[in-house]
Amino acid sequence: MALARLLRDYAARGALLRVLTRRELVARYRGTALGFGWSLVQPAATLVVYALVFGVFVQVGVERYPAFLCAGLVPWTWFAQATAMGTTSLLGHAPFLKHGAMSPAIPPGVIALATAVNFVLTLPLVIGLIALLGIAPTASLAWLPLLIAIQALLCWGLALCLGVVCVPYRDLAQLVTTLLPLAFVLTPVLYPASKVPPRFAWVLTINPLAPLMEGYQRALLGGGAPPLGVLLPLGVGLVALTCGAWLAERARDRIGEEL
Amino acid sequence: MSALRLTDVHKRFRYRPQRPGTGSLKSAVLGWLRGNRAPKVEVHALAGVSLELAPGEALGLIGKNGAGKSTLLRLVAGAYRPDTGRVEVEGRIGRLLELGAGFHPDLSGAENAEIAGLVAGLSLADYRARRAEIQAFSELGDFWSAPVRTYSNGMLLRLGFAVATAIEPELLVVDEELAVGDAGFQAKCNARIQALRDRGAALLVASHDLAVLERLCERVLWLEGGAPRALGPAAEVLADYREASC
Repeated sequence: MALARLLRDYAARGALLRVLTRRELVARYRGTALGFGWSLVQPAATLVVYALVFGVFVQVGVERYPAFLCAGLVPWTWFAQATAMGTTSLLGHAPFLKHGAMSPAIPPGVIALATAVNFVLTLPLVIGLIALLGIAPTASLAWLPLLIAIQALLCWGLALCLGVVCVPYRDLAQLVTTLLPLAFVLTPVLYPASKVPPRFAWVLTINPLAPLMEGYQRALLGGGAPPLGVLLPLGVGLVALTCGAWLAERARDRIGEEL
Repeated sequence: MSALRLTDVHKRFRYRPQRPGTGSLKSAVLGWLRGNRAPKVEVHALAGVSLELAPGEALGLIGKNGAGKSTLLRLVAGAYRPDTGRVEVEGRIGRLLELGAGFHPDLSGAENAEIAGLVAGLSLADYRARRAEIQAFSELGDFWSAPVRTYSNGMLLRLGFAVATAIEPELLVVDEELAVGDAGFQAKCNARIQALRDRGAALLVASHDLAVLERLCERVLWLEGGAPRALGPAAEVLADYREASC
């Protein structure tokens, strides 16, 4: 089966996956004075903007809105980055793939891993900031590893599908960056799921990111276990990974020509 | 046992030529709707190539630009699959193709060498065991830990060559990459290739430098329009090729 072969591919090239992930993380900020700090500045600036607009100018009506916003915005940023970078990951690693030395399944795994590591490194700061904004950490934080695992799987699967398809169909990269902001407003990050009018509730029901972001909000803001709906992103992640494994295997023979 | 065997290999490439005044999304959509897109053009890049390479043997590839030399090398390297026919490779492949192409400009030579070594198929332990040798061979001095963007072209090629040959391949695939660096370094490269061949590595090398091929190779394959025009002892084929080129 394609998925089993994919996992064996990754296991056999674990060390390669590690050094390429480090390359991805290190190279992005190498030569800048702020270094890794830049991965915090951008979400922080976004946070300030939305907190100002929806917490002060137009009130969404959520208590301690900046803390609420922070809980969803940071995992969303991970998802958006992983998807956008995953889509161009094969193109970005073209010199390594062009001569047949490496499986096309490796680059999407590298992006999923690098963005996940980035998120995990940011997490203590997020928890600290939320405490500063008035919500002390609780035992609910224990749900975070589960949520991170589900999201990592989802990002990995999507990156694999999108990355492989983007090689012959380059429009996909533009399409993904165009659709991500749309997905953002259809996911309860700026507003709580409870504020969505009943006749639009179906949007959140079919959106696999909605229960995931709700899960983070509950875990980080002391709201207990994630909704049962997190099974949806888990399922979508598994399906995407299986499809991706199949696509990557089929692409193997022609990727050298198309890159 | 042979290091490499190609049996009646065919490879075609298809592409859609760009008509003048097209290339925009609008013209692409309209063309598709009207059904008058430019027809796909097919190039028969390799037309029935068969050859066999024994361990330690060197085969040269000659032919004009577009004769199929690079296509053949990439097929052997595993980047392409043949449309028909078989490509069988025994053991690890050393790829001296576009040396240094995957280097990240902001990372040091040391970091890039590690990545390139692992991409080429070394385990981390194997890479670490060879690191000192790669560093010494590439003659980078203090630049070993400097960002690769500060390197000269020759330094990039030296580092790429050092890593690509450090994996101790059973088959070395070389595309015009033998003219690396100054005369001193070229001599070192030749010695390294000779050492690999003495250990049983086969060599497949495409070049326009006939003198290099004459010195290195026992046999030469002359490609013309993707088809083999001659395959035989280096001196004979090269002499015929020189005569035909005049």
